[in-house]
Amino acid sequence: MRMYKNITSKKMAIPFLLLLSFWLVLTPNITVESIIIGMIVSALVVLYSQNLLFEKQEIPIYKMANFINMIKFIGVLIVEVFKANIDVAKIVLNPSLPIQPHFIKVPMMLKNDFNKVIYGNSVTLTPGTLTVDITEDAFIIHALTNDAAEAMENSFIEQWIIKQEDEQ
Amino acid sequence: MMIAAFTATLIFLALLTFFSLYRAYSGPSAADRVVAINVLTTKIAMLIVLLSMITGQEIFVDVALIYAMMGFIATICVSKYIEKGKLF
Amino acid sequence: MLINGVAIIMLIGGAFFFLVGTIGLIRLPDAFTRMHATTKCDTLGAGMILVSLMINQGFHMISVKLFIILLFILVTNPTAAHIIAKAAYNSQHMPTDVDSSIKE
Repeated sequence: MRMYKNITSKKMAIPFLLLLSFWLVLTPNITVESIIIGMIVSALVVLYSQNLLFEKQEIPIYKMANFINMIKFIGVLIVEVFKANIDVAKIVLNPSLPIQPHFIKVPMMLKNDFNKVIYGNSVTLTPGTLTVDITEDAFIIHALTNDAAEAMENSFIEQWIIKQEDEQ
Repeated sequence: MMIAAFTATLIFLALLTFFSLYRAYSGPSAADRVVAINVLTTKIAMLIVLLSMITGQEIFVDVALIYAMMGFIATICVSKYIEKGKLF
Repeated sequence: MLINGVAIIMLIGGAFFFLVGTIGLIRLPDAFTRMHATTKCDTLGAGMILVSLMINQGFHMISVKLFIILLFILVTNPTAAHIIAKAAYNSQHMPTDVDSSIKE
């Protein structure tokens, strides 16, 4: 039974706890039976989808220091999202529609899949840029205006991601 | 007072949903239609949440959660189909 | 009273950003620029409406569920936009009036 080899490892425990807490949130009233059924179902899901779940080194949030770092990043990101929305509102509500849409290529070497996800989604949420494609060594980004394309260079997301990548 | 505010927001969002539906109807390319459907999904999930607050039926919040998940999966499937001509 | 005021301001903000997203969806010229408007505005609009409902509900089980929906939308909306953009960029049905050349 190769399947049950590392049932107690940390890699299995964290998805299990996440699934169990999700079950407990969705359960209307918490009783002993519902908790037992939730544990059985979560364990089955974790065992069955073992090779779909992440490898341990792919998730940097597991360490506490990284988690705090992440919270700070999300705080800065929320401010950026507000700025992005006000930018879009200005452009869309302007009668002359001042846009210069074009594609740019941002060279970026990221090995970690999780960091790629964070970078791509953050670029999409910040002003005037949208991640289109990820190639081996670059991100292809669609910029709405020329200013947005210039602001991509040396942005705070890029600095943060490179710092994260170096630490590992 | 909050119920009135929720109702006003709900009616406003329902109107916006019809305007988004116009883009899904007349979008020149398939990508435009997928964008419009994705927007519709988010709006309708918000409509369900607001409706659950107005009527006091708290079970609708779960419905909204599942609706948002289904919309995401539908978007992925249609995009894969546009890109490759097949799903897998 | 103050809490209700904050909740109503958040509701109005969310409705406003949904309006901006819809106007952008109708006015902007091609699929990629439409995606710019809808992704950002829908994420923030939905977030503001959900935060307003959370403030209204107070500390309750419903708030936890609303927070889960908020996290879910925050993660999946940019991802969905990225998938649609990638499909439109790589497919044969590329809109003809889009300049697809890449500037360095």
